[in-house]
Order: sequence, then C-alpha cells, then structure tokens
Amino acid sequence: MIRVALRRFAQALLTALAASLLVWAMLPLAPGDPAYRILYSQTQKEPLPAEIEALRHEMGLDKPLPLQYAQWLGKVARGDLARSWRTGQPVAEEISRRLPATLTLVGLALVVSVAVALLLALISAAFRDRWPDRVIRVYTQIGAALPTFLFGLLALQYIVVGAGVGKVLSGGALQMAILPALIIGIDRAAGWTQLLRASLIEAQEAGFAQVARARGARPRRILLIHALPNAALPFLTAIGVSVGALLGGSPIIEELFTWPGLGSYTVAALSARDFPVIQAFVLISALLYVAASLLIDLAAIALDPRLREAHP
Amino acid sequence: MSPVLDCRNLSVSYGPTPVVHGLSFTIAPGQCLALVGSSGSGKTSVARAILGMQGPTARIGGQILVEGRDMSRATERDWRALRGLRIGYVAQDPFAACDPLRSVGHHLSEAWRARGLSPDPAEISRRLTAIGIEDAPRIALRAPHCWSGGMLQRASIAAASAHAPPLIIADEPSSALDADRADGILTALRASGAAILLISHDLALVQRQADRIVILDQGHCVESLDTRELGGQAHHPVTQALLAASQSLPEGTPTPRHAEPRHAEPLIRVQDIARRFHGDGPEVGQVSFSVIPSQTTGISGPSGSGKSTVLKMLAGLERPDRGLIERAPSLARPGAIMPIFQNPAASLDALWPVWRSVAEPAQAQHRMNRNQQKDLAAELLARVGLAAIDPEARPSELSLGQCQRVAIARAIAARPAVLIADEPTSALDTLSRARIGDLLAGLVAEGMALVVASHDPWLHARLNARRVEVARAAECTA
Repeated sequence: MIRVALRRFAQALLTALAASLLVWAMLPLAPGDPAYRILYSQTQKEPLPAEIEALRHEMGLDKPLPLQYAQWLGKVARGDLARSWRTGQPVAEEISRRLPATLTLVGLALVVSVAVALLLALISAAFRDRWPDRVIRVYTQIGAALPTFLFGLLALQYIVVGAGVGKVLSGGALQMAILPALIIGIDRAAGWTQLLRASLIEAQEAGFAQVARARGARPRRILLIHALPNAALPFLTAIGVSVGALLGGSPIIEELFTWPGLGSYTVAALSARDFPVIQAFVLISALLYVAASLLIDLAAIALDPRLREAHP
Repeated sequence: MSPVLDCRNLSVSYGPTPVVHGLSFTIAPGQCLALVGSSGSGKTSVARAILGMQGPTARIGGQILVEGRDMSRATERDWRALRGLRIGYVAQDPFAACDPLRSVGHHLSEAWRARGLSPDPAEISRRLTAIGIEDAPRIALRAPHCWSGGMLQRASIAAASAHAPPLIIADEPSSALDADRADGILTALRASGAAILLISHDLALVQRQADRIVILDQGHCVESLDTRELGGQAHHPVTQALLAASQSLPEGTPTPRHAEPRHAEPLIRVQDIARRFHGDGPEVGQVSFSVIPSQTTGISGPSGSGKSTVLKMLAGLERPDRGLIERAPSLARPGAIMPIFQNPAASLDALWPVWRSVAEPAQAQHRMNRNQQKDLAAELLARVGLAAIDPEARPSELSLGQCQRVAIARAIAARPAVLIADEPTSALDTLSRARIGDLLAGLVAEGMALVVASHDPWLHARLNARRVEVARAAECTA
C-alpha cells in the first residue's frame, strides 16, 4: 500500500512539473515581445528600442529558453513570482494578501456542496421514486442547468437587499463568506447529487446489498454501510476534478459580492494582459488541482483494497 | 413433522405474464429439495419470493408457509424478522455477494451486525476454522478478491448458517466454481443441518446431493420426483433433456477428429512462459504448449491460477516476464486471433442490433454498406445455428446461450485462424452449454485452432482438448 501511495505521489510531482512548464511557456510563446508589452502597459506609449533591449537583458529574455525556464522555476520555488506589469508590485505579495480570502470562500463552498450533495443523494436513494426523490431531482436538474451567477443575483436581490441578511460589501471574514459559499456550493452540489444518487442506487442493487438484505439488514444499514462507501469512489473523483473549476469559477461570484479574493484581482489582470499575475493564478490553480487529485487518489486507495495492489 | 417450507399454488408475475405458475412443494426439516431448470425457467423468482425479496413490481399468488406461518400478507418487517434467523441465503457468485471494500471477516460478522448484534471476533475465527480455513484470524482480514472462489463460498455458507436457520436457500451455489469443488460446497451446506432449497441447472450434481427434485420449465412444474427415481424411465422430455445435458461426459457424440491435420505446423508455439504480478509472487507458473490448426488446446486449473492471463499473453495483450511466444507470420493480420468471452451479454454492445455486432470485425477489415453487413450477419448467424432469430434484435431480447452464439458468430466474422475462448460456457445452463460445445467442436473440425480456458472438465472432454494445466495460485498482497 505504501509503495502504491509513493508511486502516486511521484506521479503528482511529475504532473506539477509539467504544469509549471506549460504555465511558464505562456510568456515566451505568446505573440509579441514581452519587454515591449511590459513597457507599453506601464507607459501607454511606444517604447524606444534601447529601452526594450535594456529590459530584455534585465529580464534574461536574451538567454536560451531552457535556461530561462530553469531560472524561472528556481525563482518560483523560492516564492518569487516576478512583478506585476501593471502595478510594479511583487505578484507573490499581492497574491498572498488575497489568496486566504479565496481559499476561505472555495473551501467553505466545497464543504457546503459536499454536505448538500451527500445529504440529498442519500435521501434520494433512500426514498427512490417517491416524493422526496422527485423533489430533489427537480432541484438537481434546475441547478445543473442554470449558471451560478443567476443564483448569486437572485440571492443578492432577495436575501441581502430584500430581507436585509448579510452584506453586499463583504470584508473577507469567514462569517461573511457564508452566503457566497452557499450559492457556489448549492449550485455545484446539483451535479454531484445526480452522480452520487446514481452510484448509490447502483450499489443498492449490487449482489452484496441483496445478500445483506437476505441476512436481515435494514435498508438504512445497507445504504450507509455498504452502498455509500462503494458509491463514494466515483463521487470522490468528481470532487477532485471540480476543485479546479471551483477556483476558476470564483471570479464571477467574488465580483458579485465584492469579495476581496484572487478572482476579482485576476479578472482585472486579464483585461490588462498582466502576464505575471495570470501566470501566477494559473500556476496556483494547477498546483491546487494536482494536490486535490493526489488527496482524492490516496483516499480512494485507503477505501478500496483492490487499488492497494501494485499494478504494472 | 411439519414442513419448514410449504409452497401452495405459488405464482409470480412481473407485469401481465406470470413467470411462475401454480407451483406447489414442501420441504421437511433437514431435507434438501432441488429446483432444477434451464435459465429463464423461473427458479430464481421462486427463491426471491420465499425471501420476500421479489421487488415492488412483482405480484405473488398462492401461499408461502414458513414453519407453518402464512406469509401471504407479510409486511417487509415480518419478512425481515425471518431473514437470516429462520431463512439463510447463499448466492451464486461469492465475489458478487461480498462487499469488495470490506474484509471477509466483516462479511461474516454482517450476519450478526445486520441483526443488531455484535459478534465476538473469536467466534468469527472459530467459524472460519470450522470450514477448513487455516490461520483464520489473519486471513479473515483479507479482502474478498484475495480469496479463492471455493473458500469464499464456504465463508458465505458460514455466514448464511450463522444463526442456525431451519431453512437455507442456495441459488446455484456452486456454478461459479470449479466442478470438483461443487460437491464439497453442497456437503458443507448439508452439514449445517438446515433444510435446503437448492436452485440448480445441473441435474447430475443435484442427483448426488438432493433428496427430492422439482423440474421447472418456463415457470411450470413439469415433474416432481424422489432423487432415487431419477435415471429410471418415462421422464418428461424436459427432464430427459436436462439429464442428457448434465452427463459429465458426452456419450455417443465423439468429436470429429482429423487423423492428419492439414497444417501440422503450429500456429503459436509457447515455451516456458511465466508472468508475475508486479514485484510479488508468481501469477502464472511455467507452461509450454503449441496451438495447432484443427485442434483444441484446453487450459485448465483452479480459479485464480492465471488461465485468463495465459490467453491474454497468447493474444499479445500482455507480455510474459519470462519465456517465449512464437506466432506464425500468417497471424500478423488483424482478426487472425479472435476472442470469445465468459459473459456473452456483457461482451455484446447492448444498444446495437445483433447484425451490427456480428458484422463489425469484417467491417473493420474492409468497408461494407448496411445491406452487405446484414447479409454477412445472416450467413454467420445461420452458421452458428441462429438462423431463426431476428437480426434486428438487441442482446437483451436473447437468452444468454443465444448471446454466446452471437459472440461466436462475431468472432468467426474476422476469419480467424485461432479462436481464444475464456470460460465460454460457465455462465450458461447445461442445455446451452451442450449447444456451445457442439458449435465449437464443429469449428475445430473445419480447421480452426481453438484455445479454451475452462474449469469445466465436460467442455475439455467434449472438445477432445489437449490439456495444459496452470497450477500456481495467485498471491495476494492486500
């Protein structure tokens, strides 16, 4: 088991390295000269050839590409994410000021969506084809079809403005994250509920569930002791895949609730073509995604004895 | 003595047509009654009805009396009070019956936990030791996939008889296992002292183990007799067909054998191949054999010994760690080696009409239009004896035996030189098994080389196979 886990860890490291290569390649492979773009975005004037040449040398753009990558990777490993072209501030500093707020929001949204999906799917599977199941299926279909920002707008209108609960201007504190996290979480939970319900029903009909029933087990015991762990494997995989999407989807909700997180900062950087910031955001998303996949895989290995066997 | 189970005029229907009609039988304490029929005869529906697990869409007619108590109006709660305590249950496939995520010890302790009791771990070990499992406390912690089928089925029997129920329902308890272990499983069942309702398609096995036999055909009881009366004369035609199909060796139908094969040159020569699971113990011990046209190579060995792995290595899907596989240059084309799988229903695309599945390998070799494909499919279906079925039918509309013949038609559509069949008959009842055996023997007589992996000595005998034994058992690391 330890060997399988170590192998999976090594794979994750390789994936992270490959992701970093792609992220780095965004800069030299994008059309146009980076030095020119930096100078232009800072002064909004046509820069002189001598200025461009000086900056190219300063940034090391005149060196061979593999060396540039190695130097960039070394800096990233030390936490140096270069300076924003737009503001001239170190990107690492700007991000570390905003990342906790985003992680709070995304983390809370993840907890909400897993809890909602787990609860609703269990109710659905326990009351299959009866009214609780039908109501939940209507929610999952609407939730999966509608975009997140629509929920957000409706919540703003009716909960914050209408009922006076919560705030439009929120400061990044945990209690303020509850409303936006609920919106992201409930929206995200719709698809997961569908998936988990289907897996639960499949597991409830499996041979081992029938045998447990023939031994006199109650439906609740079959659902929780046998069906849930077996249905958890595809569910875990879906959660792992969604972590990246949650992070990528946060800008819209952050914008809506004026949340001081990474999302709104990145949107501003995107419109200004502020490359180091975009690079940093993509890198952080990729690393979080790799880390989440690794955690999910290790959880699956712990859950399923069949995965503990080393396969060539 | 009052009967443990008394079924009076029992009928089961899903929708408008009943699948079981007016079935009546009784089982006395300690008696073994076998319900025998080919697949689709309604045996499993009867078993489910007696557990109260027929499902919400089924309607039950007549009476089921368990220890004298009429269960016609029983609620789910009433049934639950009987399950496990008064009626035990042993399923066909022990691997499907165990939760794959939990240990076998857990599976056994479920018999208590399902009833809200907590068993003593020493009691679990004692029960496992009683069924012949050495080092039980350690082995019990292993997951089901690490166990052999026979041992796992014994553990399932131990779980079914945990509360010493007066009746145990066993649904084909030995058909997923090696033939020589079937009797051992039934002996273990009878040792529990319970009355047994044995569901089976294997009349030869039933004849050795059961006291009474009820023969079912399409939901009707066609004959009910004492086991000693079997083998006499004047049986119903269905009984005779079942009896003929379950003879351990086919009599009077010797395989047509070519004294001199047209090509004596082997198509595949296998020398001392061996393969391991990554890093850990051997999966396949050394085997050597040749695959020759117009001959059958029969690979046998206990479950988990690596029969399937040998076939995969022959087909080039996996490489041996050691040894050599030489293939004739004529096998280099696609379709020269074609597989036939164990589960015929799963090996056909459920959404495709039969003609499309059958014509697919030929279509892959050179493009054909729909009509050409349908013509080819009709020709091939006729060759496997399925001229009567609708080529537009989906696999779900066919029986398992018919599906397997469709799968064979698909395999020969590629004009293979070598057919590789992995347990082609183990999912089938005895009648279908006999037909598949005839069909495969016919193909070998036409010049094809066949490699068949099976734990069924009947099939090897029917195909006149040169036997290759794979002996080593797989080591499990978990």
